[in-house]
Amino acid sequence: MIEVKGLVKLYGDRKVLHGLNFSVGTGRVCGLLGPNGSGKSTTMDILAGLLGPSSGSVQICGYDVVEQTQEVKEHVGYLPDNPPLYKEMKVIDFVNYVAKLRSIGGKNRKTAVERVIEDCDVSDVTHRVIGNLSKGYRQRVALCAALIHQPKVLILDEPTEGLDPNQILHIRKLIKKIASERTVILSSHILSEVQATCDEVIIINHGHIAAKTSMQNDKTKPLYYLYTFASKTENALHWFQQRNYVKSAKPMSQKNNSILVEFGSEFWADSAGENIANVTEQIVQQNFPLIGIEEKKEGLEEIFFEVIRSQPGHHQAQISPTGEII
Amino acid sequence: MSVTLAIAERDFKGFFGTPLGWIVACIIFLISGIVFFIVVQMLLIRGQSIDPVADIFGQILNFLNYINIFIIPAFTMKTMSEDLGSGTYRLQASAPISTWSIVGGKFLGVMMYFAIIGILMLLYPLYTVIFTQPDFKVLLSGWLGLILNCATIISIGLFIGSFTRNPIISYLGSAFFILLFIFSGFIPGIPDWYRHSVNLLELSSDFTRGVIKTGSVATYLAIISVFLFLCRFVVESKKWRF
Repeated sequence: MIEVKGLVKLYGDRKVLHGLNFSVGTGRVCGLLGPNGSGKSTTMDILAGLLGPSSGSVQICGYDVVEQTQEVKEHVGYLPDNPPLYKEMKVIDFVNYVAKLRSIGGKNRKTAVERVIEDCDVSDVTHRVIGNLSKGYRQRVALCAALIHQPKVLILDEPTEGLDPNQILHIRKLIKKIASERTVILSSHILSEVQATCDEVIIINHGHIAAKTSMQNDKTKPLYYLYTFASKTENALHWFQQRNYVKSAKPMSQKNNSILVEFGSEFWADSAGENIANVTEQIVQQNFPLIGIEEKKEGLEEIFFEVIRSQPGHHQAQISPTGEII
Repeated sequence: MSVTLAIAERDFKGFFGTPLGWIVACIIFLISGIVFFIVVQMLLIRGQSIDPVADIFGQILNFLNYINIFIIPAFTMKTMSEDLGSGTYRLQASAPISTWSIVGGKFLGVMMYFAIIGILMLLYPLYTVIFTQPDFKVLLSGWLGLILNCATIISIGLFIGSFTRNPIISYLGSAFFILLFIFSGFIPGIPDWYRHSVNLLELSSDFTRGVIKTGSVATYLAIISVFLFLCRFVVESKKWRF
């Protein structure tokens, strides 16, 4: 459905995309994850036919974005990071206008407008002025515009940016409902957003694809244990690193008092539960102020940091308490 | 064509959805009403017979042609630069329509506003039907001049507006460029044909007097076409900015 090969974008001398290669199959929800300025929005603008690539090829539904831009636009619905809304218009007038832009005429237009208003749950605000709506409603109205022509591919740039938790949940549900019938590609710098919505994730950093991962694979990753201490303890970290049954031990970047420990395969070979109990007992004997142990699977957060650490300039990326990559 | 009209209709209605359209209409009618009153009073005091078209409508049109240089950029700023700045341009750019349709729609949207203003301006000479017989040919000629003059300023305003997302730069840049365009005809040594072509105020005054020259109409149409083409080129090139 979406095929990107060697995508490069230059702004003057500045190279913002360095030969991206990826593909997204029909009916999949793919998340583009990366810090601000990593090249997500530029990639999405190119996919939507708004920007031309400097080199490389992008095909959507078999159409080339450079040679067959109009055909691509017919099959793509695009919701940019800043929702394109005329705030002085009423919702119903705005959706009708977008339908006219898409050359949906007569009876078809009426049907399309009613369908999209129903799908995006904005039927209770159809006669209200867009500028007076909450941000969540505005986002849904913008989604109406992206869906009016029933696109096969939906591109959503930061769809939950700036929304409150309730609105985020609502938009997520909506995206999942929409995604059952089409290919969706969404960008975000919020890890939980991508984890909650996507089937696969592409991590972009400095215009490079740093990693691709499937959320299904996530379930098969080895177990980790997160040890949390009452105070910052370098000694505990040092102690873990000296154990030969510990494969790796690293402090969690956003929780300075926590250590993420990965045990080696021999540790799990037999009586794993007993081994964990023994380790805990040893920690207590060492008088480390242990206050909690949490079983963790390797999540996107760990993958993301692993990838970012291996990239130049990795120290710039951090996760805020709300889960945003900053 | 239907997409072009849809864009034009939206922009036209959009002017009345914000204070801009109403305020400008009020200013134009207030000032033209004052001009109408003063001209009638002066003519009555002097005891001259009144030619409703040349003496009243002509004065109002001349006045409009002057102030349009400063009024129209506010509209082209709104329809082009604000669209680029607020991101609503992406709505049109992501639809399968040509750049010509977008530029044409925006041009027609502003034109519709000034055509309505122009039609309402006809009320002044028509009012004088009560006590005299206006020359309808001169009336229509003056109106055509006003429309062509507006169209020219709109095309220049859209062209300048397409460069920037900043409405203030768009407004000041357009007004300055239009003045520069007109005054470029006064550079010493410039050929006469050029001076006559770029002096929009001189071109429109012929129409106000009831003189429709083919050359003047062609000049207007050429300027409009060139600036709309340039505007389309700038908008299209945004896709390939390097």
